[in-house]
Amino acid sequence: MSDIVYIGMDLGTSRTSITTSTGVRTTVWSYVGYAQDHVSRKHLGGRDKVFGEEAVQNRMAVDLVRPLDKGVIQDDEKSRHAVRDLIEYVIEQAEIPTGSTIYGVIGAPAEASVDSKAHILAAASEFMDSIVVCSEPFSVAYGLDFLADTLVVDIGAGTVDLCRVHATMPKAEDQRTHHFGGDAIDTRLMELLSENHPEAQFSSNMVREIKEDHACVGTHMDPVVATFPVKGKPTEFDITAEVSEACSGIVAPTVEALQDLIATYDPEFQQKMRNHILLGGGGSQITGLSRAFEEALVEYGGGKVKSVEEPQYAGSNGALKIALDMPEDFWQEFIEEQESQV
Amino acid sequence: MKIGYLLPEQTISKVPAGSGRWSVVAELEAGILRLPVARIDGREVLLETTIRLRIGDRFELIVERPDGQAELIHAEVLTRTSAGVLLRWKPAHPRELEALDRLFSGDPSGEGHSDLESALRSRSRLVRTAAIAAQRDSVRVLNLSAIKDLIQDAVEDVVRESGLSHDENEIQRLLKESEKGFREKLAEFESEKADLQSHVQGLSSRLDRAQNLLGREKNREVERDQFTLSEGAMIELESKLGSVIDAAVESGTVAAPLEEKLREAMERSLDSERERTRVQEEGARNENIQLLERKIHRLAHSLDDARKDRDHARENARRAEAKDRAPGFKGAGGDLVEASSDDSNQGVRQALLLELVQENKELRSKISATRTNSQKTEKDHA
Repeated sequence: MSDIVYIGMDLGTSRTSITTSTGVRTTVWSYVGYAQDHVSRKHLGGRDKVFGEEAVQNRMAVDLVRPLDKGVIQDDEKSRHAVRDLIEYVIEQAEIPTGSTIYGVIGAPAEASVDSKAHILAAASEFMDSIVVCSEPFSVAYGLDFLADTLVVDIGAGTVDLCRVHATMPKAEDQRTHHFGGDAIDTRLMELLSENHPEAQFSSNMVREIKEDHACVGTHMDPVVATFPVKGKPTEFDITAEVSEACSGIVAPTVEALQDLIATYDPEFQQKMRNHILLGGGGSQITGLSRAFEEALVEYGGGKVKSVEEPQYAGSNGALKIALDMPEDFWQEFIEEQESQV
Repeated sequence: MKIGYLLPEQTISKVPAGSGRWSVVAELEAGILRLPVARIDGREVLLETTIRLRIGDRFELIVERPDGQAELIHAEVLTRTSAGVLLRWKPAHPRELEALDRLFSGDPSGEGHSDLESALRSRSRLVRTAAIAAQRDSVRVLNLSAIKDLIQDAVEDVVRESGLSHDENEIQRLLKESEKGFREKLAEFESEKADLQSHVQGLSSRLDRAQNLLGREKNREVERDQFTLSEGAMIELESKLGSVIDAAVESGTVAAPLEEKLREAMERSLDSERERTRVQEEGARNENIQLLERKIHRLAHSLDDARKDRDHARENARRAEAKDRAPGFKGAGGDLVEASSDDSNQGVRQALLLELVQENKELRSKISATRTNSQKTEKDHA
């Protein structure tokens, strides 16, 4: 039998990360850009499609697709095709030796429907020999070995997924999702900037970059000074208040969902769960967010919130751990099932 | 620009390792320069230099820790000040992110690396090929996998020579012994679980009884016939004394002021007797309630402890049973996944993996059912 390579993949709205048993890990923005015509193909150096940051940078020359917008695979042929291409590209980046047998665990958004998971399975089965799909927050918890009385908050771009982990696979009642994620912060920040600085010219990508560099919740934050063109002339704006207000929008809906999950948990273990709240996903890098959640939870009896160490790879690392722990028999079973379907 | 990996002994760079300061090597227009570091962290580095680097330019830097460990990371010039040039890390590859982690993790030993190769890699130093070329005409190169193989061969030789290998019979004997020990342990856990279960039941019923008593005590009306005189006896006494006074008044032996005083004294005595009775009974009732509350608190505490012990015994027994059922449970990585005493989550992880597999099987069934339905619909339409 050929060498087995195990991979863990986190298919996120904004970023897709992969970690492999060969020690490679990489992350790609979840965007695919398709050349619009032969001129744009020439502009892309003869390529039909580009991925990630490159696709966004060339968005004027390509047909840009964000297949996992809002946390689920969009129900159109273009998005399904883009998911397939994205998975292929990410696996290529992992530099897996040719001829290897690939076993993969893919973390899908918590609220992904059966259809979405079916698309993921179908797309990935072209490039992997055996696949298991699991929910993203669960893979984060598994990777960090927080398997009981833990609440995982995965703050993504499209959605914020909350998941109760209590030594069993999370069911629908253990999960909550709201849509005030990274993208909603960008939108709110753009609205505030338009209201307060109508003369400034900016794009959604400029706003996202500012957020990624300076996102902060709380009153004690460093001043944020951004340079936007005004009638073509670069001008500096102090946008500290706008950044703080936009980022703070994430606190209330998340705390509400947290409290809902805690309140419906076994009362004997509620306090323990309050003290085991893990923040993952890109949004967990917002400065001061853990403290803001803790302060908001005081009203409901307090709690301890901490961010995972590598939010970018926490999901894919956890998925890889699942893949490595999974008995060989199970992988074989899925291979046989896949072959019988073919 | 080419970068080579060399083990520390082979390093031919003139820069001394462990010089006590961070330093950065960069290839600039002026040549390859080692620049002193004024400040460095996981975000940026301030170089003590007067070289006028252009803001926004990216450079590939070799960053060397005081202990000699070096990593290659890209950085971009952010600002130039009188203190020097400030560059912000701009990793061009996830490997550079890991390199940053390694540099600032404070762990120069390479402990925690999953394999020999990464340990070797972390202990090696980066030296530019240009620097090597400047000092040597040729170098001997040994790649990492060759070094790894040599080390592994050496370790195997040592193990063989030290006589640590076990023959088949010995392995079988060890297996039998461990299995026997394991079964004894399982029986112990089972019996401990059963004992604790019955203890928990006993405590639960005692707690229920105590809670019922408390409820009854709290709801009980203050019954005034419990001490000395009942309300009826009081009234009867009052009326009898009243009749005596009336008779005395009618016979003309008692003067009006005396009659008034007698009546007042009688009423006062009876009222004070009523109040004393009530206070006494209230006190007794409160004492009962306090006693019951203390008892409930004690019982609840014992019940909590017993539940914890029971859960612990249950988990031990469950884990032991799982091991008994699947002694050959192997992780797909090929290593035997054993529950060790320091890995209390192993049993939970195995159970979770089983559930995950089950969930995926159900997902596949749903998908194939959906496919079948849609194919049927297409056929019907056709």
